[in-house]
Amino acid sequence: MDASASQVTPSEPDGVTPAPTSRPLEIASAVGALVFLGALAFLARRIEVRAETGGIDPRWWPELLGTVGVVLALALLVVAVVRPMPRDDLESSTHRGFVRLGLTVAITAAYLVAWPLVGFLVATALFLVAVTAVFGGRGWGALVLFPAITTGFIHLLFDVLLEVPL
Amino acid sequence: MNRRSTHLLTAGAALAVTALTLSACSGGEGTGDGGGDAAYPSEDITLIVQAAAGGGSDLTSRALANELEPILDTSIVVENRPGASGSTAMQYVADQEPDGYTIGFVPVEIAMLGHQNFDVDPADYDFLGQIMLAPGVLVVPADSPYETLDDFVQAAQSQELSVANSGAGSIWEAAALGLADETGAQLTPVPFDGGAPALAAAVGGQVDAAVAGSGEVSAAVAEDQVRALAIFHSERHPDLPDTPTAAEEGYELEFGGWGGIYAPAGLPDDVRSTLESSIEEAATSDGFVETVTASGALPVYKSSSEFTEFVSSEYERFGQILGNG
Amino acid sequence: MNVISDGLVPLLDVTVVVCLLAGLLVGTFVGLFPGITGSMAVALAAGFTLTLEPVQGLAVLLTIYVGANYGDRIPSILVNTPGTPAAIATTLDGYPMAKQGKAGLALVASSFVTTAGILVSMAVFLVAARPIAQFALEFGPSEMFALVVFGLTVMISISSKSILKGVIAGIVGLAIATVGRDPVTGDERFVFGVNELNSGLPFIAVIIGLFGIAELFDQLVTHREHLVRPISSLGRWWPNRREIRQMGKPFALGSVIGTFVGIVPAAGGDIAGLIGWDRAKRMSKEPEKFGKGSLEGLTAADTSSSATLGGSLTTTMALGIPGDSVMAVMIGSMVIWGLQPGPSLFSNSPDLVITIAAIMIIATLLSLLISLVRMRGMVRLLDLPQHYLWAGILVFCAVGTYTTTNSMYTVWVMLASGVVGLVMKRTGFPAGPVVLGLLLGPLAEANLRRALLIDGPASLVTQPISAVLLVLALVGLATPLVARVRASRRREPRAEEAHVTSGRGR
Repeated sequence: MDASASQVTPSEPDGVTPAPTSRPLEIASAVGALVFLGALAFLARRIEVRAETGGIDPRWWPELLGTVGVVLALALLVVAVVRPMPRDDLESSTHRGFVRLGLTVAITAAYLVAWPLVGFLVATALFLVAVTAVFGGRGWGALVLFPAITTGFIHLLFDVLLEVPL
Repeated sequence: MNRRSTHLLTAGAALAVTALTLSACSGGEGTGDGGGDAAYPSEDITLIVQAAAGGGSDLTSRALANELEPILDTSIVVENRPGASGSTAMQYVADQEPDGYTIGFVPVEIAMLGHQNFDVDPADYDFLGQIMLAPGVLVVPADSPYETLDDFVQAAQSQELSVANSGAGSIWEAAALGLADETGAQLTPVPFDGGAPALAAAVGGQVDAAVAGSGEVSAAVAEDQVRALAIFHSERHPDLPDTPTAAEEGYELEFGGWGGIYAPAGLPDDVRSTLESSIEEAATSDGFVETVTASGALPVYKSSSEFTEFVSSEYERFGQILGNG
Repeated sequence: MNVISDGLVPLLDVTVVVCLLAGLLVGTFVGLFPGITGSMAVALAAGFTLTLEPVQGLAVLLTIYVGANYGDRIPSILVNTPGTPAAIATTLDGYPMAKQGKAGLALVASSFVTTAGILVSMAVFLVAARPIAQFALEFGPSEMFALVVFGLTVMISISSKSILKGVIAGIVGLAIATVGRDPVTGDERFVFGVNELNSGLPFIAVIIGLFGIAELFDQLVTHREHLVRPISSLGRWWPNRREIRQMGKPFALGSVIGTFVGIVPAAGGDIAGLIGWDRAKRMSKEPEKFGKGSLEGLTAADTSSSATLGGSLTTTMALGIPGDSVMAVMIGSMVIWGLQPGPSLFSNSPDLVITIAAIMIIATLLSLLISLVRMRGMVRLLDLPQHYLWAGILVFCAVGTYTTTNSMYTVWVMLASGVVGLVMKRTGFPAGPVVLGLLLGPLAEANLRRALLIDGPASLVTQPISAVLLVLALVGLATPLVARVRASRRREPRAEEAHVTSGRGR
């Protein structure tokens, strides 16, 4: 419903700034889709098949998807150039927000690396301390008690009750 | 808001303390320095299962673990590591320290995956004993014109017949290919997503036949939903007394979904012999035999050396079947 | 009469009551926890229940099955993370409702329609299990293919903003689903030498990433400290008269669709929820509200996903063929207890059938009670300061995902899906079609190729069920497109367009 897109969800609270329409972003996303689906169409042709049967073989379905996808992505590219879609259903992002996101992803990645190395309990407790701090938690309740309790609860639920080793 | 969260925190704190105490208790015995000189086993043993919780392999493994625990006097933690036709678990086991604290349930696929582009080699493991076998059964829809295996094979000489199985690369697909190889029949294996849908396709008459494990078909045979033409085993199955073996019908073919226990290669001798004898005791115990029998499989036990030999002969056999397929 | 009392008496045992409560507790928890599905919980519990008496064991397993179907709606509505795949469609309208301050109403309505959906399907189970189950046997590969194609047309409906982006997202989902071993020949596709990819991307990790983690990341990016979050205002709890009347039609539609899809083997609550939501949208007077917090949408999604319970129980008990993944585990346990589901179960032990039905119904009613009681507490969780909530969601999703395979790789997939989901969200690609593609893609391709292996192309159009479904799919594909073109040409009032759509949708 292209027309309805201009209708902001009525319940958005005051003070929320909708994200601005952005032609470069629309073009970039269309190009992204084109590259992904083009790669799909290309790689599908190079799938190695042990017994060549022709017809509907393992390559057929991904190739079909890739081809249809490339056509649609091209259409999207045209739309993006001619009439970029509004993004007013999204809140606008902030610089601080992206910093927060970057930190969160980095800490989570570190957590996934550390988990097998130092064990679930230590890694999870440290992870929770770190993310809670990034999310703005301060004080002993947020940075000591909360991580300890959450870690303990998960440990109790899985290792002890369900006998699933973490 | 603050008061509420403090309240929540206090409640949770109690829980956390309990959790930590509990973990201290259960972890206590396990924290002795691993690989120390204490008599094996001095810590928990992990049993890796290549399938998700709830399947046949999982059920068998948990039943065996129950029996093994009192024999070895330690906890056995069953860990499911499903994925990639079981090769994820197999590679994981191969990568573990051969100290006897990681063992695993080994399915027939270990003899097949190596021929299907997976990085799995039976030489990387110590095989400690076979614990079960689910022979393959060829079934046809209840209204099928084929009454015997011979009828079926004869018909398949002149026309292409479809045979459902539990998945691409599965043992039952290999069984259909093996039957075709042996008899020159024109069989099209149709892989489904698991044994149950494959059997359902036979019950519903969408395919000409299906190959599935004895446990999967016995109920449907008893209900007359399908007719069993032959069992691919050396003797008849107690749940299917009227189903002839393939050999009785003149085709010397055996296919079974067997399972055993393995460990990474290179176990110390004393650990290995402890494990072997405990597994023999557990696999022949009443409790385990009962569970396996109830699930429709056969509680077949093979000792470590017999099993090792068996695995390598299966490995060669499947190399031929899958190579031709 | 005798049969009924014979079936009910075993339930009077105290142990059975304890088992019921234990199952209920586990089920609710499991549903609540993203990543852990009903089938996983039932499988784990099956390890413990094998030593119990059959009726006690069934009480535990069946109540987990039911309880999980209540628990999983809560994170869907409150934090946009489906607790289990069956609650995917709940997020479409449930979360927007919560964002509009109607979390209380959404939770209450969801619990009631879930209850009613299960009860309707259980009535079908009790009255007509055997004849209806025969219908499931008609579903061979070509019928499954047609059903799945029909399901894929839902893609058009869930891409509310731009059909083009929605369909592209759907194709991406279908493409991701081809990663792994070919379903028929076993050849590697897009595996690139990574062993884990042989079994494809883990579905649960992807949906948690695309829905839950992506939403969390979006909040991180847009959060402004000085703004009050809209979600903490709860609004009304109970639907008013007008809303109850509004829920009638989607409920009726949802229970029929859910029961039907449940009966079809290998199709469960996830698929049913999406199809039910789509059908209700097409027949609604206000289709434009769907996906933006429509009570009708929530009703349809939850009714049809929960009505699959009775449907798959029917197939399982009357045919011995598992109706969904939980039932597959259930059959395993029943066999060990010496109970064999199948046609003779109904003739040889009708009392057991009654027992099973009674457990399901009691579990359903108890679940409703529990969910109404604990609801306030649940919603209070949202009042927690932002940092607890975010950190909690992140760690629970990570751990829940990990336990599905016990492998860190799965959690990495979740994290990556979260980042991809955020990019998609910010660029206007909806996540729903991706998940639909992931869910249905393998079924579509595998069943098509199976059908072709068995009978060649003719079977797709000569089999009556598949032919009808394929025609319905074509109609379903064409009508919204036609309606949209007309609407944009004529610029007529919205209600008019909706009328056209619903008229054609039938």
